[in-house]
Amino acid sequence: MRTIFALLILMVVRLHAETGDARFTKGTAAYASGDFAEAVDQFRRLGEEGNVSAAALHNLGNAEWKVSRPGYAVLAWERARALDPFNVNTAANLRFARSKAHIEAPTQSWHELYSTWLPTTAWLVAASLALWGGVILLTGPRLLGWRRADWHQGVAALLLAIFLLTLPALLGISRRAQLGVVLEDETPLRLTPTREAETLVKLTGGEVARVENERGDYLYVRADGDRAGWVLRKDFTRIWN
Amino acid sequence: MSDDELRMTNFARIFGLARRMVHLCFLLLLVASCFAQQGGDVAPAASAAFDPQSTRIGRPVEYRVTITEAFPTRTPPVPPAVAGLTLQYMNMSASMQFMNGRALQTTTFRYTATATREGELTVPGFETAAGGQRVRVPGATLTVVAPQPGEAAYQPVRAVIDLPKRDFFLGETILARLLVIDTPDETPQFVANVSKTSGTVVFRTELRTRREQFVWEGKPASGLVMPLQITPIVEGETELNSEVSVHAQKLDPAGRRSGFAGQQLIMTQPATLRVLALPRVGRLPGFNGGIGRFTLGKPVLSATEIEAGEPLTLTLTLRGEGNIEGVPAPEFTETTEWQAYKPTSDFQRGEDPTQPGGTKIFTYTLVARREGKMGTPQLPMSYFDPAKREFVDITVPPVPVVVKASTAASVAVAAQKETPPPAEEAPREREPVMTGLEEKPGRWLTSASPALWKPWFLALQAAPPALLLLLWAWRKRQEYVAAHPEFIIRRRARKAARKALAQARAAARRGNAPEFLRAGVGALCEAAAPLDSTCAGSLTRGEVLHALRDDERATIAARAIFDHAEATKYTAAAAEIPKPATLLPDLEHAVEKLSDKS
Repeated sequence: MRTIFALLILMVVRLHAETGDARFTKGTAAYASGDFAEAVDQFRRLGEEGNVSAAALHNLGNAEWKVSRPGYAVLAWERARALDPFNVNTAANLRFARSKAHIEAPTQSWHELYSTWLPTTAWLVAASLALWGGVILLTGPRLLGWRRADWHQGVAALLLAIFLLTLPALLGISRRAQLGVVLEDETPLRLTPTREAETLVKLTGGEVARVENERGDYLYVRADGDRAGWVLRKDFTRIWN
Repeated sequence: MSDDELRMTNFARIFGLARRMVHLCFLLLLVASCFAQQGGDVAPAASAAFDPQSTRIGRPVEYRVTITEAFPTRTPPVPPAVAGLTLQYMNMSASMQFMNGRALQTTTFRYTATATREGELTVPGFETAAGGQRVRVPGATLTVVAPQPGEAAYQPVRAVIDLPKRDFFLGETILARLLVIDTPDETPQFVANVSKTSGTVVFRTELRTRREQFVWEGKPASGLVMPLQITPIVEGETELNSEVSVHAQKLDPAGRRSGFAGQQLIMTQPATLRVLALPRVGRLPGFNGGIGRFTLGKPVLSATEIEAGEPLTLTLTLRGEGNIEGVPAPEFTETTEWQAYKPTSDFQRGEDPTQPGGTKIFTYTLVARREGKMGTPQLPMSYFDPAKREFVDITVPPVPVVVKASTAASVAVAAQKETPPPAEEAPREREPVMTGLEEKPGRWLTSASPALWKPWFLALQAAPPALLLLLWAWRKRQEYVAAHPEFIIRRRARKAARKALAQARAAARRGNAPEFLRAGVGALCEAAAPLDSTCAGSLTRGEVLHALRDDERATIAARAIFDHAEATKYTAAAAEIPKPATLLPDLEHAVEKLSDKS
């Protein structure tokens, strides 16, 4: 019974991956044939079906750029870079988009930059293993009645030091969760979260801003150059939502 | 309610930090107490007292219950109700001391006691649970006297929001004050938290409170003052209410500090704001949402004489009070004379961090396209003054600059004339280009968001501490078993008795009398073994019967089983043995009795 259940789960996972692979191939083919709208549709549906990968997001960004939606393209590339910070192609595309739209790369604090040195999953795994490994090595021998050895304390100290090194990255990851992308060009930045509000400035599609507050359908965001105000939720999407 | 509205003051932060520190210390003490020898055999003790022991009607005093025991208690005891006396739980504090190598916890629970009638009011003694044991809290008596003629009723601290007396405008940053006012009976010590309960505004509390003398409703008063920043976001009338968590010191009738302080939640009096939209008429060019009172410093140029193509920096300094932090830099429109880059801005708070004003510095980079005597482009700029109800023009006038011909260009032209053109163009800095598609999909995930906020990740983080807790429990059990070997003997005996009884039942079902008797004797001996601290096989009939001496039915049943077992062992009179099924219920009863005793 247990074997059947495991096989069933394996089949579902396999089927899920195969569906993702097939759609990825279709999207790539549509892009290659110049049907960028179809490519956007295929790559978007991947995300809706719960199939996300750095490569699929990178390709979605390319397709969105081709259909002249720079905001959505930057969002897809930012998401791809969050999954795979080592991908030079995605980084190059972001530079390309920003140079074309004349927008600056977002200003990030040192711990946010530090958190981009590794993928977020790697930081989380390292922090969890280091913390709990250190704690277990310190307390486990006593609880199990083993003789305490020097290497227990040495390795525990090393693991706890690694955990301390991961702390700024965890802080950076939590701060990066407030970053988002302006989706449409000429998005008004309003003085108050109301329809009749004064427009302070207009933001360019693809600009990255930081969410500081929320109210109803509006988000209070701060873009580069201290430009802060309310934008409609539909015009702005967090990189990690 | 948004996070911004719930922002804590620095006192609140300190208080929150202190509370977390107390919790951490409590946790550390708890861990330390696990490793220290527990004073499990120390009987818990309790005391109760009123402080002060006499008061007037309506004037609160402190009622304290102190419990000293081996294990910490966190659940406040519930004192019995006393007619005419209201007890309200306030807080608790704990301390730990080591006495003769044993950890002892002292926990004090504090209540506010307010009497509504005069006389001797006694909270009778009562029992409460402490560290898994019952402890008796002794009674305590409070003497209540009637207030003196003309004496005012008890007045707790009160809080109000002090707003400027005028209409407000959408998006304006209103500088208001939260006043927590002293009364003859209480004085506020610090504000722990302020949160808005109603009102369509963005509500920001400032960093610190100050004790000040002020005038409220035409009368001089004193208390804590906390600056507030309120930004109306909807037009019309809105009623603003907030709740303030304040730590207040009670004063005795003579106005001295009574040493009795506690945290309380008070509501501010409703404050009404009339919010208007910014006027549609009279708008000036360059208005970019600035509402307040600002002044623009003299524009500063990085140089007054430059060459064409050379960058020039223009710095503007905007100072004042209002929503200056959110005012974006107005942008130049490009002209045939100047190329303008996107400006940068930097905000610096004023010297007094409680004031919402400050300085905003806008930096522009301009590049002259041609030579000649000219000025920087005029930069329209204006703001709205809510006090005057008008737009104010602060346009930046052109600043004169002398632009000379570019020497680099003339040198280049001269060089071009002298030397033949190079065969190949020098390599330029590469412009960014868009890369192609990724060919392989890579590893599939269900979401691009990090696992940090996902429930499964948080659950996974709970696994190692749970494992350590299990290990600790296992270790404690091992130590307990090592210290109490009879625990294992009893368990083994029960298991063996159950097994033998099961064999007896099976034999009874088959009607196999000798087997039933053998198993029955075995079950009785196994069940009786822990009572004698010996091996079941070495127990005699007399010892088993002695253990059952206070139960006649069990004694008769055991004796019968032993008799018949011996009879079958030493004689061939098997035919006289009664049917096992009739003996079985009595055997079960006897085994149960022995198991219960052990």
